[in-house]
Amino acid sequence: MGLSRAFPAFSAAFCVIYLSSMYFHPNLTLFTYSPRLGQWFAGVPDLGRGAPGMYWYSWLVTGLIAGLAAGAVALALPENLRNKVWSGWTWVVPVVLTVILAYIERTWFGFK
Amino acid sequence: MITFLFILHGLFAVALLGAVTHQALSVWWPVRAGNANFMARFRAVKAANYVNAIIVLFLITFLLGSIVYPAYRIGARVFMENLRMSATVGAFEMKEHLITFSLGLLPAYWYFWREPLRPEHAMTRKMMTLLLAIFIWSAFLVGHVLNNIRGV
Repeated sequence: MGLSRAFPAFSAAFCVIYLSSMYFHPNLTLFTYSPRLGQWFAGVPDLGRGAPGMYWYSWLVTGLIAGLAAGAVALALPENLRNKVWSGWTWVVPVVLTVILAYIERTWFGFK
Repeated sequence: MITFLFILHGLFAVALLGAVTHQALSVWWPVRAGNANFMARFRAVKAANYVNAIIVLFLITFLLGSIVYPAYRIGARVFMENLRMSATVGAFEMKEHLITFSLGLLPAYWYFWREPLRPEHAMTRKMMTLLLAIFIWSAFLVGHVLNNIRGV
């Protein structure tokens, strides 16, 4: 099975840290893309009025880093311990995250 | 160029939608012997055969979407914000995040669908396929409606 044993842990961690990066923005935002200027910036700079920043690309990278780290931890675990982890967490986690996401985004839809 | 890429994004999304719908229906609504109508034939596919196609189509669609995204951000989104179409902008925000969840789920999806299929992971496979299908369908519909309001 090799490295693929790390995939379930990668997936769960990626989704959790991606949503955390979005929710705790700008604390976990590594870089910003300015679509108006067509430039990348480290961190979250003040781009001025009328120049929106895009953070989504950074949140993807943050999720990727977390996923790789979680995958490495999963590979380091002894096999008997890894086998005890229920595979259903890989779908339960995104379902819970989707509910949290809907709550975070509720204000767009007129909910306080 | 952006328009060309955007059309490609839409075409790959349609192909992805077809593949994931085939797979989801085949695992959630398996065909019984003797059924030979159109819906039965639609479901009568070997679900595991769709995994690699779904992953490749998803990655291509996702990549094209991330290339055209800046054009949406400074074009269509600003237009909708000026019209105070808050729910519409919010729907795109949801799409963005659900599709990113889907991207993150692909490695686990591939892992649980690799052959030989392990029977103890049957429910995980079904649920992951269902989640992907819901996320992809919702993203497609939101993208389609938003494009009708204001294309990139």
